[in-house]
Amino acid sequence: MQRFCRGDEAAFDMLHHRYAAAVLAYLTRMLRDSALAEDLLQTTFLSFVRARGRYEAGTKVRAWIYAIATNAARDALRRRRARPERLTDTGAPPDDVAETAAPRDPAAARAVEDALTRLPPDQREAVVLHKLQELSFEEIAAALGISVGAAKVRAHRGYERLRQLLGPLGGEA
Amino acid sequence: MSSGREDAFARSRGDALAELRAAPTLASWRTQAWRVVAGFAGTGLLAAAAALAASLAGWHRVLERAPLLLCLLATGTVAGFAALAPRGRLWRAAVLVAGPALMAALVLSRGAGAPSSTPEWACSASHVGIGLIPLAFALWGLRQSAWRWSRAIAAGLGAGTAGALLGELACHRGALHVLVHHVGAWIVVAAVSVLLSRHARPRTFAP
Repeated sequence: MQRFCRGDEAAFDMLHHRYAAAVLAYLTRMLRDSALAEDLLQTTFLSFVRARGRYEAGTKVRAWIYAIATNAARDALRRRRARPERLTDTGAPPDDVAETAAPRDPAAARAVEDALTRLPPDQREAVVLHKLQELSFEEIAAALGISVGAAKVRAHRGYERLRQLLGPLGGEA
Repeated sequence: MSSGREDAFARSRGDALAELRAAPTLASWRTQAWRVVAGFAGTGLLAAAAALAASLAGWHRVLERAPLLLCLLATGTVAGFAALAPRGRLWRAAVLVAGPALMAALVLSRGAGAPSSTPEWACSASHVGIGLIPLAFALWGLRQSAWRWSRAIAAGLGAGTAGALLGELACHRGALHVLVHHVGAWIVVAAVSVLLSRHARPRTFAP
């Protein structure tokens, strides 16, 4: 990261290779719009480069890049008047979105993705970052600009709500 | 992996690399914060110097109001860092406490004041007008990170210290006037900061 902050292109390439796929999956889950998620991937990495003067040594790079992606997603949702879902005529999410869910049971994966969209945005961010992107609570706290305790509370509330929404499937969420 | 995703990866990599080549070295956020603070203090001190040069205030007034003038400069400095610091929760909390406390101190330290022939609105207009100059610096700084209301208010409170510096030297009216026409104007500058920064597209979404 220090080399990237000094303008080293090879260091940037390595970071892009390491995080781009995970960030795109995260944005797709948050926005449920793969075209918008791809645009925001571009925005996220542009911000990553432009804002490297704001990076402070000791900050976890993964948490920092997820923080940028989260802020970009929030801004995009706000600008399009908080309409986070892009559904097909049947009310189901488009296939490209459903692809990002766990593939073992497509129906269950789709149910989880649908339930995720019904969570309040702050709980959705915490659940997606924890369960699906596998960030630690310390990283989630850094990414969302909140305390570790607040991150745990948001995720816990999110899981509780998911269990209610998913009913019998809830135990697997 | 679909070609759409591959295209997205290639686009994001290409754009970011082009940006990196265009600006291989960048100023740290601390340098940017000092620029914003220089905007706050520089505008206020220039306005104060102009007031002294125009005999709107004398050096005895500067000495008399020195503690508050120093508090205004200190608040502007903290506000500049609060607006730009990546982990600025403490800075921002400090400004959100110090700003209103300083406003109260400006009002309570005035007493009855002295009459003046200039219309009262002139004070409001000059306070807002002078505050908008450093606010331009602050808005540039705010665009370097994701929007937060507390950053925007801190930037507005910092910009408002420039007009308050002038008001402390050039205005001799009483407490009620200061409350309505100076503190009111200061709050207007902070509100303008929130409104403009909220609608400006940030240059980055970094914390």
